[in-house]
Amino acid sequence: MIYAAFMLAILVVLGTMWLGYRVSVPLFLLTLAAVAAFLVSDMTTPLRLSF
Amino acid sequence: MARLYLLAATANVWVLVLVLALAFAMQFATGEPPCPLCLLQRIGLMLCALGPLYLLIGQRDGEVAVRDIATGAGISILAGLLGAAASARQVLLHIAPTDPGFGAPVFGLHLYTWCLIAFLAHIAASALMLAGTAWLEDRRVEPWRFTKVMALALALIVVADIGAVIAEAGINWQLPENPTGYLLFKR
Repeated sequence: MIYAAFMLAILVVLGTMWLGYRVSVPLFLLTLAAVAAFLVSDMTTPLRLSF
Repeated sequence: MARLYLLAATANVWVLVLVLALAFAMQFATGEPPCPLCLLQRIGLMLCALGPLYLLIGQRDGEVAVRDIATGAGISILAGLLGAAASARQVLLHIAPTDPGFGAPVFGLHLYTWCLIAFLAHIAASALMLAGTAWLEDRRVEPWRFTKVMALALALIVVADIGAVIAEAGINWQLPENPTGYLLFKR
């Protein structure tokens, strides 16, 4: 579900970009930071994420 | 020069949408649901596509602005770095000589290796676009016609992937390390 949440956030960023809202770039950075934090947290707990 | 930027951004978005669509199709054609790291790489590709789209969406009023190019390239480079980190991690997990790798190889390389190449190429292309702004000034050109189709294509593939990942994960927050089926449909 967390991956679906990330993808949903990407859709929201795309929507705000399309509507020309200035919040689109901060939203993108927030989404990026969340995904990066998830990846880094996984790297510190080896082999929980995939093969 | 401004038109060259629009062409490059268009090609960039279509290539990323095509790669996402191929990955989605392969998931069902080969019967191999994507692993958690594969999904993170797909998310990286989606985030990468937002960079050139930012430029194209900003150009709908007919002006190619250097600021939009710079912001779009920044978005692309940041997303590319994230995607490259995820794919490099997966490459390193399978770097041992006896390791067969995860999933079926395509043209001799596994999908995560192709992804690493794609992310690095994307970063290089975005940096090149950024450097090229030295010769560019804000300019009015005819509004680009394909932006809506590209944004819709990206939205469609993201929605399809959301459906597939919900089917794969079921009601769980995380995915299994080595998924073999769609938990939503399992009893």
